[in-house]
Amino acid sequence: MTTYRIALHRDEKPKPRKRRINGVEFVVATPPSYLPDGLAYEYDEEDGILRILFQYLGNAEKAVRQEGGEKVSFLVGENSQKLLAVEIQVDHKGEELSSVRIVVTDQVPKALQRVRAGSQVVKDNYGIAGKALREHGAEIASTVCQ
Amino acid sequence: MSHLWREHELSRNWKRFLVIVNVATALALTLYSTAISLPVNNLGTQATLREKITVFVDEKVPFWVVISVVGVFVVTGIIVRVADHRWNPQTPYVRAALEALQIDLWSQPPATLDGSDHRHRITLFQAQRRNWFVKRFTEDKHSHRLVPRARLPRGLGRDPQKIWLCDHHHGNLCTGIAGQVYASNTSLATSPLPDLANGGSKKKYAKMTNDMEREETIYSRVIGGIPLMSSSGGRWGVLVLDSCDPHAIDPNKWEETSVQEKVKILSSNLPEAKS
Repeated sequence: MTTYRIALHRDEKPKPRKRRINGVEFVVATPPSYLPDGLAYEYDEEDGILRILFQYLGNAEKAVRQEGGEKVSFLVGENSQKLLAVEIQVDHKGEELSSVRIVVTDQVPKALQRVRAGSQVVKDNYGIAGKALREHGAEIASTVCQ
Repeated sequence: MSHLWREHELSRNWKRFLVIVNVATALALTLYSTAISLPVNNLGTQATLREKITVFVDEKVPFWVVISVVGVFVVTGIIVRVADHRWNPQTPYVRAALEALQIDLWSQPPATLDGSDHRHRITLFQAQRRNWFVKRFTEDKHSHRLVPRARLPRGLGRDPQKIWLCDHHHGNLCTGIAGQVYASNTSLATSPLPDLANGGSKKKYAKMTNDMEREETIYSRVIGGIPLMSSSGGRWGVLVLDSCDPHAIDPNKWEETSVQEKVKILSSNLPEAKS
């Protein structure tokens, strides 16, 4: 099983924004611990699972599984709720490139939007993950369907 | 060296177990010494219950049992003490990370970071759970407090003393910008704060900094903070940045990879958050 890696760039992360808290204006930014440095992906041929891992420097948090819809499940941090991995059931390696690509670039980001995020930072984290999948989904799908 | 505390760390359950054993043995030894020291005036059927217990302990408890209990008390005490090796915020990696951050944020070389320079500061606050006794028997119901553990520059040769109160469940109870950052779990920066040296309003300053009106020697013109998480994802504390220059804190700079990496390196070496 080969693992591929993609580094995420600064442009793919949300920009600081202004927000009023208790009547006082602040500039609010997503904390570094919720910003993935990159993503890695691998295809487990035995189980037929495409696993996309979001990498955070020094992270050793336990993962909790959450259903993300048909053939998709998410692994989120037990304490932080940030997205650690996405698992997609790909029936066989010969599955058509276009169908895998649609799942990665469209279905998963949409499913991430539906997942109940407890706080704004978690929403931001899912937003970054969705954006990264839209951006790099084609590359991921083409590797799996080679 | 920086990982020394990890090597001594016990799981919370083990530590709890050892503390219970330690306390139980201490209690047993106290009862034993009390029992054998009390006088016995009556024996047989006329003896009181206390006297019967004293005689029983004196005659039936072998000396090797007492020695074993003393041994268990000493050994568990030592293990708990060694395992409770507290995280030292003055370890070289913390200092190095804070210095590197200071250079990244303000292009300020460490050589100028002496005690007299208060222009830009970085303070590391650790969230500590408050004692149940304090919460139970006082009016102060805050669940946590943010305790300063390290600061650059080190000011007047002593660590910062100000403690901010915060609450896991009621964000509006949190005090200071540090409390605000902890409650919202997001990186925050104030807009430029009133210049109190030139007639700015103290009331407005207090409102903007989420604090009460107070006398200070230095009033920061801008304050920001970044929440810190330990590697297991628990909320650990806050890194507060403040400066006398109202334009010195730029959250866009926090987005730079080098700044984020340093914060992440700092976070990944923090001890487990006890929330």
